[in-house]
Amino acid sequence: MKNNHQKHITNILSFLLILCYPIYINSSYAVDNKNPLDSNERINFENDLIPIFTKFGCNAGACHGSAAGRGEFKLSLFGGNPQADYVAIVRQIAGRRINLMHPEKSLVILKPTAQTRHGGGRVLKKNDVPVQLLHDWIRQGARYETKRHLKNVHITPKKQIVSDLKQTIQLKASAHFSDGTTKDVTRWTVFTPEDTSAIKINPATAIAKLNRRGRHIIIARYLTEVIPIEFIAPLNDKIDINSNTNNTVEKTDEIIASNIVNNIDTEIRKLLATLRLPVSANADDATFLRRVTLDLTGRLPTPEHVNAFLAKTDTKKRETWVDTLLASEEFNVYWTMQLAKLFRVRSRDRNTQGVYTYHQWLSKQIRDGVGYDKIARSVILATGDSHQVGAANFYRTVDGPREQAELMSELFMGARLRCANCHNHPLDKWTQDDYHGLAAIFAKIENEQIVRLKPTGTVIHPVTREKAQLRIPGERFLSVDAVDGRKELADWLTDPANPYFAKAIVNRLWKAMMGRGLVEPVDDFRSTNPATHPDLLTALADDFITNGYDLRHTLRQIALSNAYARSANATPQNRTDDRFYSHALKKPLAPEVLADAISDVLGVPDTYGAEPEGTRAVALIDPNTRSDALDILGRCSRETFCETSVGAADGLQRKLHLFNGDLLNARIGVPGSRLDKLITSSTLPMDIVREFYLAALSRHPTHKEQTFWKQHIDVNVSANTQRATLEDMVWSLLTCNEFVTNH
Amino acid sequence: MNSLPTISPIRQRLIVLCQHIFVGRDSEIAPTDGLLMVGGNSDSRPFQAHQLALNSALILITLSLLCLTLSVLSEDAHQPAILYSTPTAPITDLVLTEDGKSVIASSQAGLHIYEYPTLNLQRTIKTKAHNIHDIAFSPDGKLLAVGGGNPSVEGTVEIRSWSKGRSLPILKTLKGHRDSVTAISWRDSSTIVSGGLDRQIILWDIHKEKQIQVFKGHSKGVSSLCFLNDNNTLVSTGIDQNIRVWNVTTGELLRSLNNHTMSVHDLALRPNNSGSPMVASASDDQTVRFWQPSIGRMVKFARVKAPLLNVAWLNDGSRVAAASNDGHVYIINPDTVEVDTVHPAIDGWIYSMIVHPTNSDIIVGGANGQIKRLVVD
Repeated sequence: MKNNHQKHITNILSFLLILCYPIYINSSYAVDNKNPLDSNERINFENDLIPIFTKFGCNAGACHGSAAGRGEFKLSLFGGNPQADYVAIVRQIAGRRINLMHPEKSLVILKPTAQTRHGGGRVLKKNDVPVQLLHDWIRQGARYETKRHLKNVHITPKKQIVSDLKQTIQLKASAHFSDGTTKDVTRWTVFTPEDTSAIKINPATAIAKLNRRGRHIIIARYLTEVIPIEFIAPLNDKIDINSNTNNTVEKTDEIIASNIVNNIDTEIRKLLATLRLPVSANADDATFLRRVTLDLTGRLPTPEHVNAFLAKTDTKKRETWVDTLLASEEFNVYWTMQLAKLFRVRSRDRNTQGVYTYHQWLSKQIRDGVGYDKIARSVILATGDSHQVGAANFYRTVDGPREQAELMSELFMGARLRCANCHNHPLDKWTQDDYHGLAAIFAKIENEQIVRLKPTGTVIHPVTREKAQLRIPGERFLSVDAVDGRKELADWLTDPANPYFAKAIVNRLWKAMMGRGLVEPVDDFRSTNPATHPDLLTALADDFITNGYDLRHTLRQIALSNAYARSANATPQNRTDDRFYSHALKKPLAPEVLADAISDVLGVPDTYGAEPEGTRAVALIDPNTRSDALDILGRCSRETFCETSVGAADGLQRKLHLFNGDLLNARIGVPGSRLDKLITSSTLPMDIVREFYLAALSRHPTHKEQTFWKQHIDVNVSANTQRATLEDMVWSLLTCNEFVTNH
Repeated sequence: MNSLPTISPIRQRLIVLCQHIFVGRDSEIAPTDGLLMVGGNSDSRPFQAHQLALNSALILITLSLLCLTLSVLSEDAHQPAILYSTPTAPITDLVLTEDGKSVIASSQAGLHIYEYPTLNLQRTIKTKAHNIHDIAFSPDGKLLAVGGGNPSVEGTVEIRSWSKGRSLPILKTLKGHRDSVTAISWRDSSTIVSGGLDRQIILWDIHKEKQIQVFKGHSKGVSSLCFLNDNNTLVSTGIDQNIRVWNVTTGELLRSLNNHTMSVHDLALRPNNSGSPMVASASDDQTVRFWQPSIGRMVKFARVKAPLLNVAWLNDGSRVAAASNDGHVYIINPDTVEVDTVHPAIDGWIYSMIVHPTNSDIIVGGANGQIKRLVVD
């Protein structure tokens, strides 16, 4: 009986067991689960947890996402490598970072909630949803496997015109996965304004509010997707953008009206209209003459040129002058220097012969009007004795294959692949495979004096620790037995469909002429750094390709646009504009150009190392040629790209030297100088003033300026006193902002 | 009762489940005598667990099927299924008892006693430390040192008695590390050295529970320790990629050996070695390196295809076994530095490996509580 009774009780208990077990499991889960995921859903490491690490900055560069990690715990930057993150959290140090038996005692929970010491302080509270997600994921077994992968993220709005600063904008992010599902991931998407003082975004609600008018970019990040959002708040209310010009319609038809010129102005004006940003008046002829002559030849127009140009009444005189400049030897010299800077031509290891050969080769390309695509192909495919084959020196510019990959990508693609050396590019699509695969192409080139193939050359991929496979960046791997991948690389790069090559160079040309790239910095093309005028950039690139990658052609189109012809004098309504071209931007003269300009105005040539007297700074082959003047003016050594190097081009040092140093003071009145010759030839003082205004500023002095100088130049004082006053006049002209800038 | 078969892990979990439902407190499982011992309460009574299990066989099968069904459904994130398998903590270390009849393994769940060679689980004993990283028997086999701790809080070495039976009572707890102890090594039956993620190495007098010497030099956590035969030279290694050699008496750092290019996880002294002592090291850089620490020389190295987590010499010192994070064991000839054989062992990371002192068995433990015996020719 006792046994039967015991069995009976046991059977009842067993039956209860079946009934209770699911209830037990479900109830305990339901109590714990306050997270936004459905309680029945398995928590997915890649799609559910990685965005949390990003949202709370755990995998940012300043925290565990740094190259060395923090506190011996390293995560991939912004979750770029979820598998590695999983290993770091679940596998490393015998899985100490999670506690499968007691999830709440896991380090990944204790640390961010500051229940144990954490260098990053308290990031989360114990009851926060992310903590519950982490807890539940560990309780579910801390598994990685996933059956769905992110395909893309849709952000709304992607572009928004904001007329009222009081207006708030709800940002939303939807993730689309490989299994066809869509999920609202707004909560876990990181919205980061480029300028945090311009936009405030509530991280919990993703509601944005502008603090300042203008065009602002927000970067939205969810997992590996980074998407730019553009906000435009008009800078003025109901202002006619032509209100400051003499004509309501600019004189586009008075100048050559090619399609691209129209495109330039159409696109520029379209954005100006959106921003309600009025344009400044057109620059006068003298200003235009000085500007375009400096931009195309790197030198000032002579007084004779100025007088002749101003005297002309031909409506096409600007176009004619531009064509004259483009055909001049001065253009060849100056743009050889521009390309030499871009290609970072410099002597290394006393390889002066190679530098000379390289410079001569570049000069010939410019002189002959060789297409930029052919120039690129020539350097990429070059082999031979670098002392005889100029293009081969491309491979002697930097030391190793990785540096060569960085040079190539920044030069010809305008993209910073270097960011993908240690981790996938956090703001772009470039992966470590792209970086090391491109480096692997260059590893097969021996860069001694004789540049030749080195089939055994390899680079080691830091992730796989195997030889990196040759790869066209962002495109495809080359065959595993490929020895020379350069032809495929050159073909891909110079293909008209290549999305980087033409845009990268036209953007640089645009910056050279306009003072700011449509994409800035010019070597940082990426989807999260959008062009101010994307359609214009595309139109310029297409036109460049259509016209045989001709540098002169694109320079000419820009030079003849209304945008280029605008005055640098800002109006009260557009004075804050530094990127929309409502007025011309004042550009500090490059050190070489300024040195030459000073010499030209003074009539006293400078000396450069052992170069013959009369050598111009822009014609120097080696950027390290001894020159105090160029050192003072902040020349670029070309060790890195000159476009991004921080020099003294318009810094305090340069100004102090101009004001007080021997660069000017020791040369203004020396025998044989322009001033000395004019005084010696008994030229009237006011004529001397006019001569220097023409030589330095390419214009006549205004009435006010003439009055000023007449008051200060006393004809009745001694010759020495009068000479000193004239020297002061020259000094004042050469130190004024109008002289040291192209405006 | 003695004729009862060993209770399988699944059934053990079900017993634990019953315990949760009907009793509501943690307990210690002693499955060999078929009793579920409910501890901590004077009113506790032995519960006929095996009888419940046998009488409920049909129900258990049904329940298992239900679990299986729900588990399959749960693979799809949109299915209303949440019955996931109980997480199983990784086996972090293994030791063989002196009599060769049992293997003790450590994990976050505690200390597990397995029968050798069947590797049937006999008992699990909870520990105070949340994480256990290293366990080691004293030279006389009577004391078991358990190194671990609470991550980022403290590191401890529990000295437990093995001679008093299989309950492994704690005799002493050595406290001094500021983070988990990850490596321990006995010097003799009264002194032990411990290394932790706090970068410190401490030599202890276990009877006085006092620190004899502190060795500071590693720039990151310590992962492994071993004494040379003179018992006065200590070799240590760690996440900082360096192998460091210490004078135990003076605490002086004699030399640092830095040929590894990534974290080093394990060291093993070559047995039966004439001449200068040789130590093998296993590293994430996928190499086993052979060192003569006394003279500070790396002799040779062998490279394999996966990061290595463990290294152990075969009994005669003729070859070395290296275990990897892809679940394989590589048998390497130290003279030719070539891989003789490769043995697939478990699925995933192998965190622990021991070589049986008298036969050709290798026992590995690792991810998801896996433990396996390999026979190496």
